[in-house]
Amino acid sequence: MKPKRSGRKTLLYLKRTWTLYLMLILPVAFAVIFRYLPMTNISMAVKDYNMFKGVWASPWSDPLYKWFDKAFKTKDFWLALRNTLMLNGLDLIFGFPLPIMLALLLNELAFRRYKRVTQTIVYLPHFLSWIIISGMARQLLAPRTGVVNVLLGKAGVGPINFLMEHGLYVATYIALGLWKEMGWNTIIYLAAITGINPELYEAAEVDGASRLRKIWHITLPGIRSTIIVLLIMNMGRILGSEFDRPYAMQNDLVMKVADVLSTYVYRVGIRGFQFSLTSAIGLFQSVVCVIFLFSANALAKRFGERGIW
Amino acid sequence: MKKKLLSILLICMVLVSVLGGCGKKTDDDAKDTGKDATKAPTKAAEKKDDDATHEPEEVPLPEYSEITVEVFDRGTDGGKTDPTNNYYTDWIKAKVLEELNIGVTFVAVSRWEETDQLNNLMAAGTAPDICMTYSGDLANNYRDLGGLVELSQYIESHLPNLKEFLGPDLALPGRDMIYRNMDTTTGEVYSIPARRMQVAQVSTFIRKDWLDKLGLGLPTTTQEFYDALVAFKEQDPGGVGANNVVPFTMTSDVRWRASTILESFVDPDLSTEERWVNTVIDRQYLLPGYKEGVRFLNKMYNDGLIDNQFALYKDDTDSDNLIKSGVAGSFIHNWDQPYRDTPGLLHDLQENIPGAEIVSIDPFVNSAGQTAKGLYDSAGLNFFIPATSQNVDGALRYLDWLSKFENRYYLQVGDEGVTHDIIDGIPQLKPAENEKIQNSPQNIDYTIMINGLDLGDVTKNAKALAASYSVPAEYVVKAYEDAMRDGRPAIIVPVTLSAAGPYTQTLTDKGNELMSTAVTAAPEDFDRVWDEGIAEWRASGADEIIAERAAKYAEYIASMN
Repeated sequence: MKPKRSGRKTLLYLKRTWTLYLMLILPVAFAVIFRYLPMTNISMAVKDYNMFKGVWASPWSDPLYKWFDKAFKTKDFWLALRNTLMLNGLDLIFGFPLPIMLALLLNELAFRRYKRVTQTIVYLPHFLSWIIISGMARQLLAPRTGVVNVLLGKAGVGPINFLMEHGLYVATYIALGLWKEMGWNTIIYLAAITGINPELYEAAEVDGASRLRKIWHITLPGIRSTIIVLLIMNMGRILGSEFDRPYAMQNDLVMKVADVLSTYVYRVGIRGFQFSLTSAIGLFQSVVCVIFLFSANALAKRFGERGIW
Repeated sequence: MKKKLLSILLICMVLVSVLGGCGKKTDDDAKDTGKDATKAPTKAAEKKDDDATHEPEEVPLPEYSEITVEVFDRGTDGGKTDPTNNYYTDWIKAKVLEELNIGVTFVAVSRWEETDQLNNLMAAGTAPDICMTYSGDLANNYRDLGGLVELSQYIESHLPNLKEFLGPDLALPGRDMIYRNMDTTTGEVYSIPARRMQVAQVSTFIRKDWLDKLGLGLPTTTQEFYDALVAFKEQDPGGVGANNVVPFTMTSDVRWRASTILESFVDPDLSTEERWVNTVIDRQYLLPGYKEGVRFLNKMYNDGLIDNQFALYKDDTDSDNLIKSGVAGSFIHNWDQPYRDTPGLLHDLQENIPGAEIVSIDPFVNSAGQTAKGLYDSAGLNFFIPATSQNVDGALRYLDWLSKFENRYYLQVGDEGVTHDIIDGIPQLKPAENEKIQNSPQNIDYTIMINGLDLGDVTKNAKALAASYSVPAEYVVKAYEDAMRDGRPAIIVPVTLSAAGPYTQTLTDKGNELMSTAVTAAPEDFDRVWDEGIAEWRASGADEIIAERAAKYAEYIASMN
């Protein structure tokens, strides 16, 4: 009896909502065709891919883990992995808290127009491409002709080799990333802050709370869940790497710290024909990212946050 | 009610979009309304062709077809035109359509990233029907992966003009040049070389007006060259500001931009075998003595004679600008580089600094007392047809058409009075300022089977060479003589190599890294940096390539006896 009734229930449910499901078809088809079908090409990682034969006609590699084995035995791969972790880790350490602070500061500005103008100015660099920024960096920071070094030279300092010495290159790389993205990343926090009930602030004011107290006890807790979600998402990116930023900025003298997985994959795979090797690396990269994402999410849930699913 | 209406509307929408998709196709097929501009002429031409078969007095051309042809985009500024769409491409398109009934489309590939872009095109199956590359290893790699059309069956039937023009192979007596890349065991041909009209490769250049101002003659030894650079740095003869003088400019491509210096340190007594076997992807890093050449560059760098930003220069642009703006004292490049209209180094320099002079010198003497330097092989760039090509026949006919003297001659010299004047029966090239400007010297990017000017006659060619520049002929003659003096001909061993393929790019990159880090190392660290870099380079595939070359060389010698 029971299953029949639930079957009828389902039918009833479908009859009522079938139009909604119909509307879902297109987006689902989009995801399947453009997101999931291309994923089958991951099989390249366990095949001896020949660019002229295509993925399916290429023979399976022997043994299947051949390319993973090869990657893990290459020195350059470990170097690129280390650099990816180092650069992304530094990006997280510096690039994550600063936008929150900036958002809090912006939120405290009383003069609305000044606040808006400032906000716009700090997020504008986001719209410049890394190619342009790396070009600007060269114009500004080159040891002989760079404006910064010319000025430093006038002051009797330098020249400082911002782009061609290992440590300085990493610092420049992180600083430019901050400069470009910090303002943009505040937007989501500012939006979350506007969602906080103003009555809380009024009540705190009545109780005689200072500005810092209000930030600490109202604003920060109010955007805590946003912070956690963004942190989880950032954790998921720790091993994924953008391509244009490291590629545009690196040069022959700093490859030991500048070569990250994405540029390594590009150099060795796309330019060097070793597509199977690089899909293996790409797959490895994605799997590690997913692990990071899940563990960050689990951790967030353990601490009583909602996580992202 | 409302819900029902919505659902009906939705169904209609889905139906419309589905049917709409189909409808478009049938519409195109049935009516050929010419929505698709590239499709329209195909149909029109086909119709014309049908008509032609009805009128037997006209010689019927083969059915209309289309081909795509790779052309280098050199990204040069200064009034140059779009390499895929300009006066010369229009001329080619019109004439090929008329004479062969083939529609030609040019596909631009950056000269500076040719291998990357070509790889992407090849992997995507969208490579042009005629492709070219200067990298023989790259062409070999495509061949080994089965990506190229085998051409030996077509050479006699389809390419008579090309075969005649390329002529006999001077490096391999008894063979025709068109068979240069033939596999000696199977007789298969997958790529065809271009012919270099002259083999001068590289020369060293210096600001003569600076030397004059300092009362110095042209340097004739490595030491004199070094002293001249020191004088440039310390005395700033150009008055550009002591901090701005760049005594020697180069780019991150150190191997090339310092090649005459480096070559002079290589042991001159190396046997052909030693030299050929240990030269990996054209890099001579492993030849005895090369390291000392790099050490010399390291000394120059640490003494402030080399631009300390060279590692940031990924192409010639920045270095060119230093030369043009008159702050650079010397450089090494193509034997005629400063005199070419593009990039117009001497021309622009003299516009900025009247009276400035760039002359060629030949100071780097090796231990045998010679100023050895590399010469080009008389076979230049390689061109080939990808296996994905839908129109191999059309591509071959185009290549043979282009090899006809009348066609390549016009593309090389252009119109009289515009791109050349006839003086004593010799066309003297001059730069055009208008739409007929040539993007590459003598349009070599279109006349792909020829590198250098060919007038169809040896003596005419020699005369025309000196006259083909818009600078005084004595500059060019001196540069040519310097580049040819004690020149070391390219070593050609006709064997099929394939080990380099997957390593070429990694070794190129690692080689650049090796050179840049070694040149900029502190003098006391030099040995360590160089030895570590070389060990890494060897382990990254160079050793494997050397083993193959050694084995093949031995095989080749054995087959000769």
